[in-house]
Amino acid sequence: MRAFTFFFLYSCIFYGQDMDSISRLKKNTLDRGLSAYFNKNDEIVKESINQLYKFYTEDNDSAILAKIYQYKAMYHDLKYQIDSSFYFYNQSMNISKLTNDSLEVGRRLLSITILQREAKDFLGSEISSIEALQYLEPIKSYRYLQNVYSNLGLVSGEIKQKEDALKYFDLSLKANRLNKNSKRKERGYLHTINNIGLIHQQGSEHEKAIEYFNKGLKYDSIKQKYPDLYALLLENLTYSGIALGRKNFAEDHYNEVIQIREKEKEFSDLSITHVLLSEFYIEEKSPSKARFHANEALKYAKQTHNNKRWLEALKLLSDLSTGNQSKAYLNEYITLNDSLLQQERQLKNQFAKIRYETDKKEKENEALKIENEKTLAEAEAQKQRATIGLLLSGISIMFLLSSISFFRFRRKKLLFLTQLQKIEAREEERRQIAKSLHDEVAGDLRLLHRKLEKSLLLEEAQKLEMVKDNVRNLSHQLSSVSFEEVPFRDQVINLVSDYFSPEFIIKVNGLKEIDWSQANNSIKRMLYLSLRECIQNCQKYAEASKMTISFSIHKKSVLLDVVDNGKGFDTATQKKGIGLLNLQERVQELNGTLTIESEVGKGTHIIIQTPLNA
Amino acid sequence: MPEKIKILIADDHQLIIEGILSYIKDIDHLEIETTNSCDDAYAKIKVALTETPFQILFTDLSFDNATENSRIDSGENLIKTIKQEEIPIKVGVITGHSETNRVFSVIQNLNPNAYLLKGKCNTAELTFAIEKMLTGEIYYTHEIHQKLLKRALIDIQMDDVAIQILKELPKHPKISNLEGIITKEDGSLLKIRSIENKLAKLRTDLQANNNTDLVLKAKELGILD
Repeated sequence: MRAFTFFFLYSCIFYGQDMDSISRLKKNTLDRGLSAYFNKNDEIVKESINQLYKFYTEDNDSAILAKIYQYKAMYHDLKYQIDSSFYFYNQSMNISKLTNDSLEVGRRLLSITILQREAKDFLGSEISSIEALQYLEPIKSYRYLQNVYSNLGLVSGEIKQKEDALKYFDLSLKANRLNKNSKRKERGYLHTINNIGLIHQQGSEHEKAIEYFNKGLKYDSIKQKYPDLYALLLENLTYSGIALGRKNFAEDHYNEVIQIREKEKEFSDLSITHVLLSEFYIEEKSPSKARFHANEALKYAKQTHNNKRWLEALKLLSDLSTGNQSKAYLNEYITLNDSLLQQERQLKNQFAKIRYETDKKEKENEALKIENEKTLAEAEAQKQRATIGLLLSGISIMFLLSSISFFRFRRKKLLFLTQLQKIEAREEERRQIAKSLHDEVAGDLRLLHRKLEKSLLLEEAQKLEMVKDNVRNLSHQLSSVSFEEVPFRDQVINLVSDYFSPEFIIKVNGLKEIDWSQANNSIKRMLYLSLRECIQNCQKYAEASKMTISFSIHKKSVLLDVVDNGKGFDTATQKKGIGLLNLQERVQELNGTLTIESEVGKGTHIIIQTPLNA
Repeated sequence: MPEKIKILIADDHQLIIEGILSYIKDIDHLEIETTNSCDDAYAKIKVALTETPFQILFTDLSFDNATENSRIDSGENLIKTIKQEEIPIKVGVITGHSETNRVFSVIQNLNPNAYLLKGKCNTAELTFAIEKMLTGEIYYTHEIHQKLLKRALIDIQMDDVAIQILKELPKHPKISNLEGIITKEDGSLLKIRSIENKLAKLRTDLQANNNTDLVLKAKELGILD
């Protein structure tokens, strides 16, 4: 037993660990994939996706499926396959919509909106951003709201809506203030400050722009904490400074930025710095340096598909070179520009198509869902109908059974009632006979008696007197006159007292304890007559000196138990007299039973059992 | 008996009336009226109340000549009506009914001053009964008396407390010693007052002169083993 308990406990712990380790494993995989995405390591992202697939096949968790789509989107993003990335973000979002995970939906929309902005689908980006707000605002996810607002600001900046852009950045800053995650808070704040600066820079308000950039750069230990942001701010500050003619540290600043970005592998951004430096050197009339940086910019731009910088680099190179080479660069520029424009359009269309298809699917899903619900409801109704049918048939069977038993019971009762009526009719007959005996026969006898007395025939008169008494007794015995008026208890006592004598002691038990009003009159009459028969028999034949009469009730039947200490008889050999036969008949008429136990020399025991009521 | 005694006899059979009359015709100071129906008997009693009321009514129990129009259809109902109206008259029953049920029912419910049986009665008994009735005593003929006694015996026999008292009585010199010995049906003890009351009733029922006599009678009558 102890061993078993131990095993049980052990397995419990093991199981618990197992559960724990699975969820931890999932989280690890997700974290690993996410950081790999930020570090632009597509292989690890792919690994994570495979890992997640395994989890998904194990437990079919739709949250995991959403994550798989998200990571796929991230993977394609790293591969610069924007349309695929967009597609998978959409898929992931749709699953999260089904599971009602607003945060996840908002996050995917944020990714989508950034994708769209980068692909210059500004209208689409704005729409997606607004949708993201609808999901994120109710759940007060300030961490992502700040990003969405920031994105909206950037989009507005791109379409030259300076006022809107500033408004959105302001909202982004507000959300930022409410954000609790300190690292993201700081990064978000610095990003927004930079963006606001950029907006002013675009509007050639360089003084204002510099104010914001400086604000960002003065942020506590920014260089150590967020070198990428430091580089960004520094770059923008330098650019605005140059625009204002402050070129003193421009070269150093740009070089510092390049240094940082090379260290941080920000190749896409490196192309920007190189373009800016190239431009700077053109201004400074050092074309060789300018050409070097233009080439560098072209290299990084190509590598990172930074089309904007690619074009800028080509243009710079075209300007910096002469003759055929310049023409070649220009051609390349034009071809690229055309293809980029086309690509842009295509992407926009692609986005729209994907959106449309997912919307369509969503609607189909909705329709399916409704259909499903309908069939479910149908099935439910069917089930209910079946249940109702079952119940109904059950009820009808029960009804049938009960009515059968009811009718059987009723028939029995009717039979019993006719029996009772028969008995009553017989009683009535007895009464009539008794009456005529009493009135006519006894009356005639009385007359005769008087005549005999008068004729002094005394002996005859005495005999006649005996006959008259007999007739009278017979009459009384037959009749049950005033029977109803005397309570059964008194009737029994009266009966017993008629036969009681010091030589024949009769003891009665249980008579007073029974509530005789619940017993049927015919039954009481039967009991009375039976008891009288018993006593008479005993007195006539048994030579008993003692008799005990006991009444008792068992459930719904009355038990009459008569014991005497007489000489008894052999029940096997001795025929039943007319009295006993009558007794048996009377008892059986009322569905009762009569049992006679007797042995020669050992007295007689008569048991009568009868229902208490009809 | 200086004054005349007014007696009313009610019986549905004229022959019986004649018989009774023949028995009591020799008794002095009797003023006798007869009737064959209860209604008439009641009317006669009521009318006589205003002048010289009847002192005694002898009635049968069953009146076979009673019809649906009869207001009072039996001797029992006649007696009941008289008792209800508290008419000052002694009532005696002269009847052939000796069935214990009827006798007991009449005596217990109507409490007549006398109960005589037609077959057994004679001039002497009638005279005695009338005398007793006039003095307010009760007279039952011997057979009825025996019936009542036996009935009382059966009742006593079924009365556990009475049996206990009768059994314990010879063992104790003082009645007060019985207290704490006699238990009721529910197990509680009987108080001395209740015991004494019970004894008095037993003496009456068994017509015993004292407690010793009572125990002897009980043994004699078969109540005690």
